[in-house]
Amino acid sequence: MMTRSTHVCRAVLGWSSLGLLLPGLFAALILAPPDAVQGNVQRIMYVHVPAAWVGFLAFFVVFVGSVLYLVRGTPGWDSLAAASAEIGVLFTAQAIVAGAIWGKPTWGTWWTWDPRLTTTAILLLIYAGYLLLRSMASEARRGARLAAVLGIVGFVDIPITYMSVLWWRTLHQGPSILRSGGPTMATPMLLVLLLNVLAFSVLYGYLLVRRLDLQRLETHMLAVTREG
Amino acid sequence: MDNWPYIVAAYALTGLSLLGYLWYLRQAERRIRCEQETRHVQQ
Amino acid sequence: MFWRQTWAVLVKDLTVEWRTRQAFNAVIGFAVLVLFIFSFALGPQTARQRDVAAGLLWLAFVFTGLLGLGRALQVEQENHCLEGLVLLNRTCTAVYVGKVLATVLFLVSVEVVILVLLAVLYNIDLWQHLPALGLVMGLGTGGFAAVGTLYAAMTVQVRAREILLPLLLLPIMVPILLASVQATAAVLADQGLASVTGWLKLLGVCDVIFLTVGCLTCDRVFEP
Repeated sequence: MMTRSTHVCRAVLGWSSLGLLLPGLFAALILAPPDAVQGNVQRIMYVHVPAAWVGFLAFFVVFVGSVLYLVRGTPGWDSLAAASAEIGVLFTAQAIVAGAIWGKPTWGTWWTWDPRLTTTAILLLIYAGYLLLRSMASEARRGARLAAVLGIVGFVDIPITYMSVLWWRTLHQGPSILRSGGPTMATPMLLVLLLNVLAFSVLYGYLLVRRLDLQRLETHMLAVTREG
Repeated sequence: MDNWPYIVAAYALTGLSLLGYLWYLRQAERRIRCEQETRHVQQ
Repeated sequence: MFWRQTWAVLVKDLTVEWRTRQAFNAVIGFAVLVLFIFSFALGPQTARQRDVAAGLLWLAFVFTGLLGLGRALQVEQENHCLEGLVLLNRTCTAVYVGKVLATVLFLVSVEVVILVLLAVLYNIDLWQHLPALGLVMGLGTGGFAAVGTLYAAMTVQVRAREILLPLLLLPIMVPILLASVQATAAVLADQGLASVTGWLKLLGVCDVIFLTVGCLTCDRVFEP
């Protein structure tokens, strides 16, 4: 049932992501220098930041899919939004867990109200709400339509939330932002970070294509079941 | 290596969750293809 | 034309609220209870309670507001009024804005009662702060109502609506909640509104953005 172009797409994205992830892993754990202050624990950043980046990227895709679905009405846009939401939840959860694991030995606490971490947590909650709404709708079309509105409101809310938490935090003293290498990052660290960000992004693309394939299969099955 | 349990935990959890998601995708695809096969056989 | 329709919806909603004012009393009762429970949970030291009075206030507003929102849209759903309203006006924007305004008026009247109770419980001097508090309450409640009405109209169409509405609405409310609490705290601490113009601007921006998004998307939400 898969077209040839889908096959090619999957293969290219799949192998590229592997081809980027493995060197990225090696660079993160071996090549990159340990942090002057935090030591080797800082290497968690090479998982935490790319995962968080993909989490936000995926939600942007949810936003685009939602807008285009409401404007154009083609179900394909809704499938894109739904698939991206599912994958986005995964990466956002990873980012938060990795962030907490990074925070414990570094700052002595699992959680700080760091603006970026807090906004990521709220993003996770918005994602969860989006997916729950879809599952609670009695008909798929209604769920898709309402979820699209959620995707738009949620996305608009994210920058506002970040700013408000940032202001809120500058009012009170507290553990500072998870940063490494000082105010600006050392170049080798930055390069390794960018490599991993790229690797995670390509991986996101691959997972998206796989999920959309599954969606297409499910839709096809439903159509066939109705006919039969 | 200092604090290595934390590093291992972070990387392992990330990797496992990714593999878990890939496994879920594969299982779902397999289930649907299986149903498609049985349909074809019935027809 | 738009404003006439909006006014009509507003008057209709307020009339319904007035006719079923037992519900209004119930919501007030709930608000009072919430305030008491939070006070018990925080412990008997009055000084500590005064520190967190602003936060307590807005917590009570939020939980009461959730209740009020859910109920208001439930009534419409039960009688399929939403569809009728939308059919009458070709776009739903007037319906949406009318509902938001009605919700704001309803919620603010409940909030005034909570405010008075808080002042009594914690011995806060309200009178001189009243205009400033009114402004903050208006801005905060406005934003809450703008998104809340939209989300309530959504959740009323799906299962598990009682739990879904808070789950969806509360994450979005974070900026408004933060800003409102900080502004209220500044007013209650006699620092005046001038010290928190940043937060007030944030509230204003939020209100405008959420209201705009609501107007743009409301016809897709109110569809039958």
